[in-house]
Amino acid sequence: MLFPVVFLLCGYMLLFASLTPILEPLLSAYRLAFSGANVETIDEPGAGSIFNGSTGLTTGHLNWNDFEFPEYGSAFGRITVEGTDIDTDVIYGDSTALLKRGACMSMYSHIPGCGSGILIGAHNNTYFHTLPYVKEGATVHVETTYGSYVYRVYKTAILKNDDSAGYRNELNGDKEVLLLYTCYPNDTIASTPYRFFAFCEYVSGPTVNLYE
Amino acid sequence: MTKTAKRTRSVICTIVSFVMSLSITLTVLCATLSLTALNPTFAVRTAMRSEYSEHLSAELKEEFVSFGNACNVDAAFFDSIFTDVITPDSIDRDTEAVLREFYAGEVQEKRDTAALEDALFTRLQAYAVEKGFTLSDEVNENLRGISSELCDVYNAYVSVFSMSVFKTVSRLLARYRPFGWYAAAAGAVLFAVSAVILRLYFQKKKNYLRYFIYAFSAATLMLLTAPLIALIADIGGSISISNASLYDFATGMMNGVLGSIAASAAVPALLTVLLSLVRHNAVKNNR
Repeated sequence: MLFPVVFLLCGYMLLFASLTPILEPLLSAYRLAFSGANVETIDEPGAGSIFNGSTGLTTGHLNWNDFEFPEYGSAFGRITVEGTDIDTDVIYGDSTALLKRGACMSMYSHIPGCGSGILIGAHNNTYFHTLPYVKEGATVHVETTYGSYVYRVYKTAILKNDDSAGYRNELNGDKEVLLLYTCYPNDTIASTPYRFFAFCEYVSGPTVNLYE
Repeated sequence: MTKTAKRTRSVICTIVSFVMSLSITLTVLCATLSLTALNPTFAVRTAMRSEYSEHLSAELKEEFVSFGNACNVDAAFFDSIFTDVITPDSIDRDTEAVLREFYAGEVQEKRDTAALEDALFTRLQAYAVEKGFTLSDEVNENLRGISSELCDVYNAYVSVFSMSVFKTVSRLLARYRPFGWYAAAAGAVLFAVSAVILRLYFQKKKNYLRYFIYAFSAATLMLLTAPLIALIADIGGSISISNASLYDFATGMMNGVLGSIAASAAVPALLTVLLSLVRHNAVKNNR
């Protein structure tokens, strides 16, 4: 019995020795490919997350360590739009899966209170079906986990889906503007290239500084 | 024969026996890989046996519903699509075709989805009428556009093995697949040479059969140990794939190949037992 076990050990040592020149890259590749992070071990982002209500703060100033920054996939707010049926959770991040759960805030924008553009979208067949009926002057309430915000619609526009120039200034500017958008029109069956945008100016809510 | 000569012979035969065990391992391993990982039929069977088509169907439906929500098509419309049109059987058929093309190095960018597009278009027309739309030229054109884009989504998912990274692997696989059998043949030749050397060193059967038994039992252990450890440690289950359908397929392939290699250890194990019986008789008759 000794010889076969010795042969086994020598065989594996020979294999190890022959792989030594490429052992490091092999190990790196193995660690990358078999890290254990997969569909069985990773939960769907924000699965089960529900919006538990706002602090009710309507004024004041918050620093980055005064509140918990939303996690990707979490329901961190609730939005209602006057003159429409919109009353839905606001989810941080957007993806095919997240769009099923509510209105999604693009991670290429900022959270309410940051003094810049906030981009929130949803499907025209679900949560933002009545967005195209919003009138200028309508109030938009966004309750978040860290404060209550009010915006007012000051203009609407219909833009092509690849026309970022139509809202780039508001998204990247130094004035807080809430941009709500959805596919347009909502009364036809088509893969439409158009998007309905409602531009909303900031009215009230605590300001947020993420850098202090 | 002097003591020194006997010792020298013993050392040489041990080394030859070790080389023989390596050649047996190489032969059996390469033959097993040629019949499993390098065999399109094995890959197809793995896909059918795993929940690949069920997961893919669910992933496709999620994409279709999301796309439909952007086109004013209710989610409920797609329930019938995934019951009657895009079924696990139809996905299995397309998957089989894609896998066989992958192994042959002939990956296609897009599958022919004309029949699927027509089926989707017909059902969308019925849905539009149900929703109160008149089937004007404009509406029909819109519905064609939706059908075409849904087919592109279908292609992107079912033809996953036609992605650029897989295309390179496919070409390499097609070119080097036969080398599995060539390596097995080389191992068999090396085994034959080792066997002849051992046979020539001894006159009595019981002496050279001892080294044969060492070689075959060592090969059994080599083939069994590593795959068993990998299976027990569930290496296949820790593969980093976040997509459920691909994850199922990949773990099925890995566990299938590892299990096959471990099972192939039965061949040298059986031969070890046979040779042991033959040697036992030879020892009894001092031959």
